[in-house]
Amino acid sequence: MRLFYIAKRYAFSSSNRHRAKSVRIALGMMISTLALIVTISVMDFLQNSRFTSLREVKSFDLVVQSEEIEEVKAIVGETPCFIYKEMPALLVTDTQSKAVMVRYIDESYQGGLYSSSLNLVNDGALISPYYMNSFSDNVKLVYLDQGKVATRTLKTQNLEIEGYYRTKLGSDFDSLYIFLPLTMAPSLLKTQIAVLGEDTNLHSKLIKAGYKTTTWQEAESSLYQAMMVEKWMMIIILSMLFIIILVQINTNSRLFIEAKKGEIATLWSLGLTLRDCALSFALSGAFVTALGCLLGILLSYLVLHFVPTLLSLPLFTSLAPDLKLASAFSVGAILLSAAFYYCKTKRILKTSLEILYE
Amino acid sequence: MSNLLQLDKIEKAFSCPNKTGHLVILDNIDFVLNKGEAVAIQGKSGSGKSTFLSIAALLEPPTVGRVLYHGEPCEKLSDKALAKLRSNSMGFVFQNSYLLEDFSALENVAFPLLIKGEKKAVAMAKAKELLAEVGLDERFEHRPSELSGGERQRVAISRAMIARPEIIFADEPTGALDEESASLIEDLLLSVTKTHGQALLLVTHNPLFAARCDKTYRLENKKLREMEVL
Repeated sequence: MRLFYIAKRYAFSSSNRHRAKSVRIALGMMISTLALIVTISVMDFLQNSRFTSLREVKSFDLVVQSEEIEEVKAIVGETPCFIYKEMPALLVTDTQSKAVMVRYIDESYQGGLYSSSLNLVNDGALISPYYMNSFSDNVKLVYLDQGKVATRTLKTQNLEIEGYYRTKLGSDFDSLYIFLPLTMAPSLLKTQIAVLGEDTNLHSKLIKAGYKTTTWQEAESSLYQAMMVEKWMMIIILSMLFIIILVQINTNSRLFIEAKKGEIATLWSLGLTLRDCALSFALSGAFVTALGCLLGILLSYLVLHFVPTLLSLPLFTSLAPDLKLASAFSVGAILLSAAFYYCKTKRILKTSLEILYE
Repeated sequence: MSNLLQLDKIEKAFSCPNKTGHLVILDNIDFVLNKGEAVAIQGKSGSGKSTFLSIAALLEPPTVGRVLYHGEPCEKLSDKALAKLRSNSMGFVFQNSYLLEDFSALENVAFPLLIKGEKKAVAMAKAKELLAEVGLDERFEHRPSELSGGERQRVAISRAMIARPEIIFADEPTGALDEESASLIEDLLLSVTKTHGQALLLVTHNPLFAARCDKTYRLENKKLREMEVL
């Protein structure tokens, strides 16, 4: 039978008396889809971006503390890694001083810093633009050594500023760090080997070999825990949103089928099987929901693409809807709609046939 | 005349909400409809006429008893087989016409053929013929809401006739019409069924309309009783 013909007519055809209802249902689905996709995309972007920055700049995926560089590199194999050292210092001018961490880093390090002159092989320093107005081209560093009772001054050094850097972590992090080439690091400083990529096998191998390791989750445990709590909160909020959408689909299908119950009973009396009647309206419901979801996805794309630009939010300009999630949600919503419309049509045929005799 | 539809010791009862026991509407009813015969069922409101009609038309099952079509019992037929039987052999005209409001008059009439899988062009051509036959050749593209009560019933009759069913079930087809329109529909219904040799099972309050049928039954006190034709 021409189920498609009936379904199409009952979905959006101009001759459908309840077209306004279909439009309202589609708009409702559009708004729900938009809300869901935009929320998840923004939250995921914020979390992923934060996690990436942590793993690339603040701490690294896996840090091995060892002076046996070649041995560690042999275990690490092809996995990218680089050496760095860190030391606390005071950044001093005639008028002020600022506590900072000096990070000596080898030239193979490529991630996380955005600088016009990232040239760490020279003897100059990279400082944050935060200091631009506070220092001239030369700065003085006072190296500190934190003892059990007091902090002592190790050495003072004048440095030329080679360039400025910034990270996605923002000025809180940037203003606390100064980057210098590894060749300038005092030999007494502990060597740290940063291994990129989360490889649990490699991690186990290094532990078995007796190396002291720190993962980025361990290094940033409090922040990591807080962000995991945030993630769980998001999951709970999104679950509520899913329940609301489920209730919405249920209500929509009830309204739609109630409005059409006379037609459903007539179609059945004309010789459509119970199954075909229910399938026609399931298809109709699926069309309406699919249109709503499609509009929601398109609108979420527009919102995520243009709103950050319009509101001058540079951090968000690379936002895009999570298409995998959007497709999974849409398919789920369409199938659920079809199932609700199918069941409600069957139910109405079993309970409301007397409408034909009213 | 050969036996087309037979109701054998039919009983219909509904469970009463908040009460124990059942409300019996039809009790031990036997009925036979022959090919090409026009039979009217009369009775007071609430006497169970429409329930009787819906059982005869296989729209709902009896509580007890059997419905036989061409001598074959129908109680074990699947939903698909029942739908096929309704689609091939039965046509319906309801009091409120129950046209599909989202479809034009032409589409409404063509619908039973489309359900049977007929090509759209063929179904539409036959529907045009039938609508012209009932005087609605100017109203093909009109929606049911744009038609008068009498016109709607004429569309409903055309729809019931299009698949050339063996039986037309009509439940108060003139109940919602004025006298003049009612008379037109009565003439139309009786003449088309006679012309095409179809049986008519009619539920009506109108004794004059009932009197024009071959047989008249009265449903009273849950029982069906044949009345003498005047």
